[in-house]
Amino acid sequence: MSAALLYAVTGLGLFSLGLYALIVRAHLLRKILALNIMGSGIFLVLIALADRTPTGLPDPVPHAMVITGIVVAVAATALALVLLRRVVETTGQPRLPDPDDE
Amino acid sequence: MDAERLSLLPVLLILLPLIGALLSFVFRRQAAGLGIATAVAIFVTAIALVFSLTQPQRYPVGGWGAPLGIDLVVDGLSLVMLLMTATVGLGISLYAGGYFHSRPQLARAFWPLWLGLWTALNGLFLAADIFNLYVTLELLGLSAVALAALGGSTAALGGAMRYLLVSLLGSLLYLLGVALLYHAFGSVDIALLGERASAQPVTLAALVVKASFYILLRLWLAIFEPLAPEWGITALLGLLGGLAVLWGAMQALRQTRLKLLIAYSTVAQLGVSVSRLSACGRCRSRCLAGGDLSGALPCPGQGGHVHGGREHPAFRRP
Repeated sequence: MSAALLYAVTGLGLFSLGLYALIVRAHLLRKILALNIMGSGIFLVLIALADRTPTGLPDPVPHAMVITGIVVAVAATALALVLLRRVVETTGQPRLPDPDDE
Repeated sequence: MDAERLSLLPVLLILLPLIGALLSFVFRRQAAGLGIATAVAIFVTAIALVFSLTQPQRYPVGGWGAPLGIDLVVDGLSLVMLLMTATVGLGISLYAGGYFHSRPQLARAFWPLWLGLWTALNGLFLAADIFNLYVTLELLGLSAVALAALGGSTAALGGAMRYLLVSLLGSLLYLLGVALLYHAFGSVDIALLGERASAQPVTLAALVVKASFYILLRLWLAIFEPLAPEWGITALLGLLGGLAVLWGAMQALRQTRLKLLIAYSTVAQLGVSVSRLSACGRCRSRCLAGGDLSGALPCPGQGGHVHGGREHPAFRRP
């Protein structure tokens, strides 16, 4: 098993773990963490793909995508955390309010 | 000279709302005036673009060009979407100007977010590569979520949180698809991808596109439709579209609140559009680009974002 394959499989594993936690866990912080883990998995896949070029030289384009992706992920996480704090302030619970309770 | 000015119009369509958003954030007291002025300017620019454009046009930002830099593309499809957004956006801005008159606190938050949303939408329609689509999709999602949370009530916050989680899930899946497509074909440019993908058989099950119909349409016309696919993909699309029509219509009939009714009927309409896409793909004609599209196609959730931000989070993007 080559290093690139190992990274890619690890990345897909992280992605699946994150997806599972996102669906199963009710705590919003866990959901946000799960999304971040999914993102990290995709970044690992991208890095691994960058290594698999015909010439053997690493491809810089996926690296640029990863950097952009990290910036986007940071912004999204920040927004999610702010929303989480507001949800906790208004409902007192760190989980999604039930829409039927209005 | 004329050619140069012409090619700057697409850039203006992104710059104008961006500048408007920044200005309305800095000069909070004049936010409403600035916002409406920006909306009018965007509308005028879009109209000018319609009249000046004679053929699809590519604008390399910064002069870098396709493989390395970021390109903007204007063609018939993006023009239709841009013009529709400008029309709807102008209406929304005028309405919001009056609506927020008695709520100055909310207005200060609304205008930068709304213009940021518009920037992302225009960027989305002008993007020439699938990674750029991902970035604009995220920008769109972030500003839309913030708009949805604007009301500050429990329902609004919960709705915004839900929307954020779902849209992040969608865009992450999309990003994975981008990674796989890039690895398979060595490019993120939509036009190049279309050429390379039609050169060899592929299974495209990996590509998961978020429910943003524009992206589906864009990628479909450029990449998948030329593949003259086996029945599988088109039949699946048709089936999904049909299900959306049935489910959306059923739900719409059951609703007692107007906004939910509109939201579900939007789902049904998108289903009609998707089914039509599938039917066209099967007979391999490009009959889709016709004008009837604009009738069936609600500009993706746009009114919804604003309404959701204003009063109720249940009105989310289908």
